[in-house]
Amino acid sequence: MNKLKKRMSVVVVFLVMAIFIMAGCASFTGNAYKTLTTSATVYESTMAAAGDAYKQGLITDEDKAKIISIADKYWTAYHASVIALEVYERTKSTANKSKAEAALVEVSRVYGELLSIIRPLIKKGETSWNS
Amino acid sequence: MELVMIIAIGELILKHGVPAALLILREWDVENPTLEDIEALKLRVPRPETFFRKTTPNEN
Repeated sequence: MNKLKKRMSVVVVFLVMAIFIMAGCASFTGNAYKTLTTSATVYESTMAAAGDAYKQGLITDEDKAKIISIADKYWTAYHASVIALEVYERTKSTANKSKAEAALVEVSRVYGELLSIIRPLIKKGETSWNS
Repeated sequence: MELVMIIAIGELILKHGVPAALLILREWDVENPTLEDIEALKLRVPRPETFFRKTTPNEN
């Protein structure tokens, strides 16, 4: 229980810091860059967990195909977002900024979809592993 | 940053603890990313299939 409380307090501290950092960051490019790097880190961690679960036989081939299908959409959305940010950074136009913003929203949306597929599978796998 | 992303970060930290928080904070060190920093983002995300191969998923 103590370990859980310690972890929860780390999460709370981190989230509060995140809110302050995001509030303080005036640059759109800076914010977008942070969002994309964080997104990449979280994607890697999530997919690595899914890959491990699959290699341990805790995820079926059918579920693996489902995950890859959605993750493919994420991969495409992420790269589209990076390109949109790059174009905005080169041109600094309002129109390109709107496109970059829309691309970022799409990355988050697709990642949410990916997480909704992977999370229950990994949890199911962890339960099987622990039983 | 979307709420779903913030929640995902929270879950990552719950699972992996302080090292995960430090990793993410280190990435947030870049206040004014250059075009090169943005270009480098293209190499960050491996193809999904690589995570399910027997070899380590560091390919793009």
